[in-house]
Amino acid sequence: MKKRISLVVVWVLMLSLLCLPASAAQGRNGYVLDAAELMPDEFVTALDDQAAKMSELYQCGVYIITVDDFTDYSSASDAYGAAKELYRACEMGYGSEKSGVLLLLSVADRDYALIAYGYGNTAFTDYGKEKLKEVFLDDFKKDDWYGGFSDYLNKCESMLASARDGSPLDKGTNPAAGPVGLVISLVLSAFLAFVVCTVLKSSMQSVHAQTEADVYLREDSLNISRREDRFTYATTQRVKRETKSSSGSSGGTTVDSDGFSGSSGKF
Amino acid sequence: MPTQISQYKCPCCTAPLRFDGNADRLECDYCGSSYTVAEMEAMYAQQDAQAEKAFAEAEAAAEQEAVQQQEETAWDASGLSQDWGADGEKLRMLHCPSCGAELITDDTTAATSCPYCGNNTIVPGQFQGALKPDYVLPFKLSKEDAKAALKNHYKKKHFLPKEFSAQNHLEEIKGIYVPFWLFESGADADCTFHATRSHCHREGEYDVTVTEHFRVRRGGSMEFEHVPTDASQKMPDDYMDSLEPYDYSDLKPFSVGYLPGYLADKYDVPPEDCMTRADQRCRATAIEQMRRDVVGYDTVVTTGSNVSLQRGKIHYAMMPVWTLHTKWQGKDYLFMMNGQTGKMVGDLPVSQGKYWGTFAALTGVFTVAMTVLGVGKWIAMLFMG
Repeated sequence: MKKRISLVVVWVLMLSLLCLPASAAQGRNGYVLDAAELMPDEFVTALDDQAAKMSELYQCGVYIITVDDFTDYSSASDAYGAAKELYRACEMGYGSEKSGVLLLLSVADRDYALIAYGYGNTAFTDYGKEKLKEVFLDDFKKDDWYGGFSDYLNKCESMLASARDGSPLDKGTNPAAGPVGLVISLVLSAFLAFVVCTVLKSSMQSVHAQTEADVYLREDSLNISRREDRFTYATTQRVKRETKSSSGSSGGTTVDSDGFSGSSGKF
Repeated sequence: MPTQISQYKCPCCTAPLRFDGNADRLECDYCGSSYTVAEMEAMYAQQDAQAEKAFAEAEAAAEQEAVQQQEETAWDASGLSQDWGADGEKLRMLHCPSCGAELITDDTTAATSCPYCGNNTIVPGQFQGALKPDYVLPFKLSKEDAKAALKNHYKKKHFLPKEFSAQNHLEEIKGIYVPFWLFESGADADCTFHATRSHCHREGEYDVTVTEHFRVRRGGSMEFEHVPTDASQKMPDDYMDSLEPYDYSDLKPFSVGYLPGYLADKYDVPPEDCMTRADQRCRATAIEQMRRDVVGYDTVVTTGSNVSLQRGKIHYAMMPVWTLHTKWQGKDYLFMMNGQTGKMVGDLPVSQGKYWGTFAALTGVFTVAMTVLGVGKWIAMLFMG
């Protein structure tokens, strides 16, 4: 309780420090701050409650901040740097490790940043963060803010649950790959078994009409008198080679010198 | 009218002779004597005149006896029909020269055995004049070989019901000389193909595949020798095809001396009706030979073909076939063996229990193996990321 109070206090201080508009909506738990006023208060409250619940459950803070322009609050040149500054300034994170994940939206130039810290780096791998982006970016592109944040929180919850079970979402650890892989194995196995059974069954049938007369071709009687090979045209197919960065990663999380992982981009 | 039938009898003991394919001689099972086909042919050439005379006398005596019996008997046979209908035209009544029993055969039967005394006999007139076969391929394998081959045919058949080989009994084994037409022909082929050849190389970030397309033409000629088609309606064409090939180096000029001990039919399918099958096979081979000459390409597709056949001589030959009938669960199963090479053919029943049991077991084993190796998961990750 003491921790929550102090968090709210820091938030309030940060709001004044960053000169956020007085009408900026923030959740009572301090996990969601809608400084850009993208959503009604009740939406912010609902998201904040959801974020608080999972943060307590998984002991890893899940945060959302929206601003009009990140350059108003940070000296960083990009949204990623701004997110890091805000994370540290607001003393975000759960426990002594300050574990957490933050999604920052800067509406002016449609920038976003997704960063993780502490245990967040374990739960949100590089691959996991890519998957996490996929679930909210398509909503934000349609200006569906509540939908995007809601999807973000839901995905965070499932990723935290996977991490708690010892298998954070990473390359080769998609939790759905297990059951789907089993189904694929079953289908492939049934197909292979069918092929083997068909071959075995065909050995039971030995009566077939002949369609050719190769064995009755008189020896040395074959005389090829015409051979014409004429080039007509050529077709060219170009396929772009996959780069190592898109296919060769072996998974895990890339952490920078400040202990953060993540990236920024446009939505 | 009853027809006389003849047989080769042992000059020593007068028992009927049997042609033994392994020894290539006519054997007497009673006194152990053996003779070559040529010896017996020469001997019987001298006896032909006597046989004809004896036949005429026997016919006259039989007719006289029939008249006498008609006069003596007073049974009322007015309701009995003498009309066999359309089937009657295809039937022949014969007298066994050994026991005198009346035998009814169809009009294509050329050699048979008496069901009463087992005497091997040859029906005269079936192989005379224009009906005489050019060649005969003598039996090389015996009835025992056929039985052994059938047992061997059951081996390594995973889906064969265990009860089939254990419970089924051979209903009948017959060695038959089957009439065949052997076609000689030549073929001129002119075929066109669409062929492609592909090369791959790298250009910066791209893998480039260049596919060259060619219009290929091949023309040529070839000759076919002794393309066989069976000339008997009784014998299934697919079975006869499946028994091929025969080794024609053993072909002999026809002689009835090879027939004793076996059944034989004369042809009842004229060569004109078999020509189409032979032509189709020759055409297919001609096109395939042209296609095989198109080399050095990655893909070859036939786009056009023109094959003209020069039809040559047709030979009439008798080929050795063992037929074996079995019955299991009320269903007939027919097997045939090439009497020269021993090739056995015949479809076998499939045990549904074994089939689905094997399918389930294999599916289980493969699934476990794939799960352990992570194949399914790996494929899932390829698509799911």
